Amino acid sequence: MSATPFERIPEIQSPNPQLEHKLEQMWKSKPGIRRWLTTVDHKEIGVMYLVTAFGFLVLGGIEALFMRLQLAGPNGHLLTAQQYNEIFSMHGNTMIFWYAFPILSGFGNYLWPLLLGSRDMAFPRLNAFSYWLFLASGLFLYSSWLVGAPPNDGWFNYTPLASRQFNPGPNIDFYTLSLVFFGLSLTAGGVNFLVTTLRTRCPGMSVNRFPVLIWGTLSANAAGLFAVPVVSVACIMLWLDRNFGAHFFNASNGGQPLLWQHLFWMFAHPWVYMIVLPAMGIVSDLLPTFCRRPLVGYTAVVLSTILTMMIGFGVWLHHMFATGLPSLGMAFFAATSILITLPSGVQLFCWLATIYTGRPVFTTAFHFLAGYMFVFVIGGVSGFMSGAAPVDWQLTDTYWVVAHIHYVLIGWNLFAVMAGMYYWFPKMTGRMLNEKLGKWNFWTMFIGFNVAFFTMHITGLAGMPRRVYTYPAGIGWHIPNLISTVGAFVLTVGILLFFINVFYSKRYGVRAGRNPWDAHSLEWATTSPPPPYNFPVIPSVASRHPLWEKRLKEGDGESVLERGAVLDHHHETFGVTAMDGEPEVILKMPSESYMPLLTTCALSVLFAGLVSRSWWCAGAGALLTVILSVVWLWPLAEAGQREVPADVL
Amino acid sequence: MSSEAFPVQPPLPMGSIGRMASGTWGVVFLVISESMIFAYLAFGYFYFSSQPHYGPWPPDGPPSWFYPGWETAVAFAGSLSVWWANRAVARGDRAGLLSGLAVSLLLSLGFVALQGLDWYHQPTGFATDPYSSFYYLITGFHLAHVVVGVIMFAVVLLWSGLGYFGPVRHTPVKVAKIYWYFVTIVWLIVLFTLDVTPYFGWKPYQVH
Repeated sequence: MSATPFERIPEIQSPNPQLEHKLEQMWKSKPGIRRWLTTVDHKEIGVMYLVTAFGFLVLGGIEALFMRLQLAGPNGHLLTAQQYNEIFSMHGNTMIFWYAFPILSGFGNYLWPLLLGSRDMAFPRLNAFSYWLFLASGLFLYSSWLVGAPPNDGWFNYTPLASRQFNPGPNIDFYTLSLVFFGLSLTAGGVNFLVTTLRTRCPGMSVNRFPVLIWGTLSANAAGLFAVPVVSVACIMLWLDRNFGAHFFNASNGGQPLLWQHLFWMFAHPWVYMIVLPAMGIVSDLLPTFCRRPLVGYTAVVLSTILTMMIGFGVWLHHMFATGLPSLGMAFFAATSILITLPSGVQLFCWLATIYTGRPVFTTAFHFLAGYMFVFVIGGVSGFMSGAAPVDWQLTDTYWVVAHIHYVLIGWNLFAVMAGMYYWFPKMTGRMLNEKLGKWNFWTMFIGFNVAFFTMHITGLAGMPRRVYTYPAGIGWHIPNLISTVGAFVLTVGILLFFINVFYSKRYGVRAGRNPWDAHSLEWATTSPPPPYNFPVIPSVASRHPLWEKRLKEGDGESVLERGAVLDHHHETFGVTAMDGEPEVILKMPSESYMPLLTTCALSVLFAGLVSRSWWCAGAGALLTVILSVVWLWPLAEAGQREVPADVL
Repeated sequence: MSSEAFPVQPPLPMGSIGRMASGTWGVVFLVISESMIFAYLAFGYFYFSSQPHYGPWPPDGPPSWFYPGWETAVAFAGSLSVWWANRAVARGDRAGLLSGLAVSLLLSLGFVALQGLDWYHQPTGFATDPYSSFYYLITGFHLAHVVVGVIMFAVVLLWSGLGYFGPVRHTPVKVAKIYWYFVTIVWLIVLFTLDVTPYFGWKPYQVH
């Protein structure tokens, strides 16, 4: 069969040194520092995401320790009231926005093409762009310390306190603009994840064979496309209120302060699930490996994931029960808030059934998975309780809520992240993390976490309001606060042990082979660390557990990992049909580029101009962004974007 | 299948081709996300219109249809011309491609001019009251998306003039089409929100 100039029959081979050498030359990044500035390799970008997000975890953690020291005893004077406001605001923003989601995007970036059997994400340069925007927006937020005006109205930044009238400095402008800036990163990343899942997979990777991590990250990023615009709109409205005298949230001029709360929580409640569902996906994917059996109820878990995300858009009002809403509205939102525990419960019972019917292997990663389930139940139960409006009226704005959000935002995220690090570190570096140090790491983190945050429930029931910078002696708040402070430092030791383990094991760890855990999914079919091109030949899969197929005897046929399409003309991967994963096109991928970084710099000029009210600077940044975008998107002949004869390809 | 690694035998197309190009899928998801901006803006507008007021909403009565009417016509005409440009490029008709894109560019610039005139003739400013703040915010957000459309048409026209596109490779022309369809549909939502609903005669609870 002859091919027209725009078509090709993919060549089928088995991996061989000649082919691997050719692909290596074609796919490897530039040497030296240029490697990090121009890379479009999803694995390098994934590691950059992970390292940067851990950096923000450390920053947010240091801020947390300052607060815990301040509150360790009555009448603390380490921080002034204003400094305390700034520190808790920066702590919340850093952890919730710049740590919790980006760390999961790090796993997603590193793993997706490996899990899906392709060579890179659908938009490699957009992928780099979303990383640089994440970093630049975080630096932009932290640059507020340099001018002595960090955000000081908490992570949900309620008006009218956030209005110009009550908060005249640039503090809140840094908050609004950095969230808009960060939103660009989320949108770019979201589009990339969605198109990658739907389009760039290996033959046979139909939707019912996706690992659960794919479903979790997919749901989160799809939700992001619907939820992020509202926080961007709300922040732009507040910025216009503060800088151009608009009347959206400014009560004295006929605005509606409560509208800010609606818009913020319409974003922020889905966000809570966005930073949890990929982590739950990690749990669902790791448990089979450590229980030596497939996940119980794959379909139920996947449908619950999607259902949780959808119901997550209909519960935002439960953050506003104390604002004087009509009781019909409260009843409806209390019902949805309690309903959402059902799909979460389905997932939990599927995990428990997997352990119960499996043969658990008590590795460090498994310890973190079990710890995850423990904090999952506590956070779920406290959420269920405060989902009832009358209970919420008693608990709102007390330390009970602080306890609850730390269980759900950090507990439901960090324990899965740790399990994921212990599990995939060998894949990323070729060396195992130390198991003995790992057990110490787990127990200090687990004990520290629960001592610090469980105690806060009691502090809250004793009546201590959140966001007070100190408290008088003799009203019963001293002892629980002291216990929380001790717990916070134990948790810190646990996290330090993790970093020590990483630095130690990266150099001295036991060498891992391709598949040290005898795991089931496709990323373990390639070397550790994987080559820049991931797979020398594109695998084709015929079941949900391609590496366990012979034992499980599942699927219609046999997955073929050692023979497949070579796709070695340029950066190439298959474009497949969305549902069944049948190849329909050979996609050409772009190679390394400075454009994502340069465009991010141009946008940074724009945002610096906006926050300093230098309109010429903002205009120059906008113009530069447009010019660079056009250069970036210029059609390339070698990427198959121009009508040119095929011999150029 | 056990012996054959790769079941597909016929030749596969290569590179960036229409519906199969990643760029086409990317712009579809991008405009879904951008559409949500307008959904949330409409939420804010209706939130205000349903709150107790010290006067009617909009304060000066329903707005005039003169400029919005012409803008609607121009947006639809732009959709037609960019559809025409796509049809022409798929048939290898270079003159049709260039003229279709040039007309689209002019129409999108016309939309910007009409919106500017509409603003110029408004009796109120951005900071007058909540209604006018919303009016300028919503039309401003839409205008920003139209300006992106202007840039897109100009750049795709330039690339077409350089002879980059033909019957097989013309994804950017298709992307411009999808984007302008989005601008048109969202304009209808803006039009309905700002210019149609005030005629429904909804009477929010009024504080005296």
